[in-house]
Amino acid sequence: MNWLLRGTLPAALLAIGTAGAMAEPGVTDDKIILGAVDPLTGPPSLLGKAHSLALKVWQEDVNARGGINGRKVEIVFEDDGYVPARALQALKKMVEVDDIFGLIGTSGSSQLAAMMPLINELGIPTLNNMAVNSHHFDPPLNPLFVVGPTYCQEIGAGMTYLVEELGLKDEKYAIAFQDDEFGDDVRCGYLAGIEKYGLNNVLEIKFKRGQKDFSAEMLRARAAGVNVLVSGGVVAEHSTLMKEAAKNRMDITFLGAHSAHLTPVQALAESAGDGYYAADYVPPLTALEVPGVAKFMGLANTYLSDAERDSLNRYSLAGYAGALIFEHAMAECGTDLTRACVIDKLEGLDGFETGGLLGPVTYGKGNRHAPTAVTVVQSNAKDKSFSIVSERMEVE
Amino acid sequence: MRTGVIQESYGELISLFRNPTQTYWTWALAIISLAAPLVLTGHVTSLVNGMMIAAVGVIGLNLLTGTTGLISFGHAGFLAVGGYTAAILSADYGMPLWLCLPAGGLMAAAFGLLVGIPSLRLKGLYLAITTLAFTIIITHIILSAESITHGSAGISTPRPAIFGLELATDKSFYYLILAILTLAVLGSANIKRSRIGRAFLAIREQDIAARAMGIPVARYKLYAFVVSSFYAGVAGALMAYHIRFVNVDSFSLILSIEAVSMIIVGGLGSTAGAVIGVVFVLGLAEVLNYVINLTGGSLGSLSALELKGFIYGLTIVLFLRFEPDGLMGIYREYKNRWINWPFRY
Repeated sequence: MNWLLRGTLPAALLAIGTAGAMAEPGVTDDKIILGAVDPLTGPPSLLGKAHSLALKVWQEDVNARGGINGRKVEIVFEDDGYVPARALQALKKMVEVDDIFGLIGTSGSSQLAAMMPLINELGIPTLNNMAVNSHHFDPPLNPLFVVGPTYCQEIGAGMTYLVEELGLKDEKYAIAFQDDEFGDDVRCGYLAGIEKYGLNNVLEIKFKRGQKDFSAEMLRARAAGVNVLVSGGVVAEHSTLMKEAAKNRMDITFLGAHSAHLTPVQALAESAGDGYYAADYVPPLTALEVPGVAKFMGLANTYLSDAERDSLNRYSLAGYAGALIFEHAMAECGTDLTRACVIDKLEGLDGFETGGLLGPVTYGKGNRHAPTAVTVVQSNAKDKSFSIVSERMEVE
Repeated sequence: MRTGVIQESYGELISLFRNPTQTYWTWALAIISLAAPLVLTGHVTSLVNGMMIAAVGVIGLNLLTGTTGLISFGHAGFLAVGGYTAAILSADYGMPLWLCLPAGGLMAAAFGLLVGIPSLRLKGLYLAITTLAFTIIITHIILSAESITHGSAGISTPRPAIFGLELATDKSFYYLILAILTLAVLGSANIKRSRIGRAFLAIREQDIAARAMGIPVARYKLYAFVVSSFYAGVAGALMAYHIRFVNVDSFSLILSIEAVSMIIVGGLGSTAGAVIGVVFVLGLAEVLNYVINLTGGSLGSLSALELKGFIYGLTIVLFLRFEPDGLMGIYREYKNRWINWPFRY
C-alpha cells in the first residue's frame, strides 16, 4: 500500500502541477493568445488602425521567426470605438471568450482607465504604448506597464528645444489647449517650460474639444503679439490653429505633442503646416537611418498591402516597439510562460533597446513608467514628411 | 376561435395584467431572467447588464418623449449627472451604493426640473435643441468644476457592494440591476395607467386640448421631465458602478441620439417597446461584431469593420422609414392577425 501511495502521490502532484501550468490563460503548447483593444472605427481610428497594423506586422514576423520559444503568437483585436464602456466590454470578452494571456493594445487614456480595475484584479500583463497619462502609473498597478513620456513631459522637452536650440527665450509665448485630459497635460508641460526658463507667457486659451473655428482666438493671439504658440489640440484643431495664423499673416512658431506628428495634420493645414514642430518619443516613419524604423518598414512591405501601408503612422512605430518589449519579456520566461513571470521580466527591464524606435526602456520595483527620451521633429508640408531636428532628450 | 380580451370594468381597464396569458408570460420571463446568469457566460452577462442599465434610462426617456411627446436629446446629460453624483459620493465620500443610486436619480431629477422649464414654452425642434445644449453645458461644468468632479481625469468608482455584500462579479451585479429594471418597468407601467399617465398622453396628442380639459399642462410637463431624468440618473449611477470609471467621454451626445433611436425602433410610448428597442439596437451591434469576427479573420478586416458601421446605420434608417410604429407595432399587427384569423379585423 505504501509503495502505491509513494508512487501515485508524486504522480498525482505532478499531474496537478501540469494541469496548473496548462491552465495559464492564453498559453497552450503551441500558441500564445494576446489581446489588443484599439479604436478601429470612428475618427480616432486613425491611430487605432495604424497601431493594429503594426501589431499584425509583428505577429507575422515573430511567427515567421518560429514564434516565442516554439509557440506561435495570435493577437485578438477588439474595436472599442474610443468609448470607455466598450473598451471594458472588449477586455471582458477577450478574457472570457478568447482567453488572452496579455494585453498589448490599450486604446486611449480614459479607455485604459476603465479597463485598469479588471487588468489589476486578473493580473493581466499589459503594455500601454498608445496614450500615456500619469494616473496609469501613479499609483502603479503591478501588471500595467507604461512606455513613453506623458504629454506634459513631451511638451516640456519640446520647450527645452525651442529655448536652448532655437534660442526662443525672449519671445511671447501662448498656449491654446482643449478642455480635456489631453489639453490639461499639454498645458502642464507648457507651464513647466515657462517656469523653468522664465519665459513670457502672454496668453492661455482654453477651447472646446472639436472646435472648428479659431478666428477669435487667433485674433486675440495677434493682439497679444504672440510669436510662439504651443498647441494642445489634436489633429483638426492643431491644423485649424495653424491655418488661422497663416490667414492672419502671423509669423508664429508652433509646437505640438506627438498627436501633431501625423500626415493628416499636415494635409489639413496645407501650406500653413510647413515648419511646425512636434515633440515625440518615436522617430518619423521616413527616418530609415534608424535601424528599428528600417526593419519595421521592411516588414511592413512584406506583410501589408499598399492600402494598409498608407494607414501607418507614428502609432505604428509605438505599437511595434511595445510589441518588441513584450516579446522580449515572454521570451525571457522560456517555455514555462506565466503571467507572473512576464510581469517579473518586464519589471526587470533595464535600458532595453528597440533599435532606436524608443529611448532605453527601464522599469523597476514600484516603477511602471518608462518615460523614454523625446525627439523634436519638424514638418515638411511639401513632401508630406517629418524630419528629426533634435537629439534625443531625456525627459524630466 | 379567440375573440380578443374584452375589459368590462374600469378596474380591468387599468389593471397591470390584462389577461391570464399576459400573466403567464410575465412569470415565464421572470423565471428566465432569474435563471439567466446560471447559463450565461460572464461576458454575455456583462453585455446583458449593460443592456438592462440602458433599458432603465430608455424607459425614462420613453415616458418623456414617447408618452408625453416632449423630445429630448439631453439624456446623456442626465446620465452624466447621475453617474458623476454616484461616483463622487462613493469614491470621495465612501457612501454606500444604496444611497448613491437614489442620490444619482434625485440629482438628475433636480436638473430635469431645471431643463423642463423651457419645455413649458418650447416644442419640437426648439425643445430638442435646448435639451441638446443641456448635455454640452453639463460636460462643460464637469470639466470646469475640477475640485468636485476631478475634471478631465475622471473618477474610478469602488466595486459595488450592498449591505456589506460585495457584488464582485457581473453575475452578482446582474440581480441588483434586474431588480432596479423591474422597479423601473413597474413604475413606468403604473405611471401610464394612472391619472398622470393619461395627462401625459393628452399633452402628447394636443396640449391645447389637454389644457381645455382642465389638465395643468405646465405642471405635468415638469413632472415628465423630473420622472424621466430620475430614471436616467439612476441608469447613470448604475453605469458608474458597472464600468467602475466615469469621465465625460462616457456620456457623449451620441448616447442621447442612440436612446431616441431605441424608443423609435421599439415603438414610441410603449414600455415593453423601450426595452425591446434597447435589446435590438445594442444586440444588433454585438451580433454584427460577432459575424464580422467570424468572417473577417484575426484583424476583423478593416473594411469589414467599416461595413459593420454601414449595416448598423442602414438597419436603423430602414426601420425608421418602413416601420415607424417600431417592433411593438409589428408585434401588435401579427398578434391581431392571429387573434382575428381568418378575418382581417
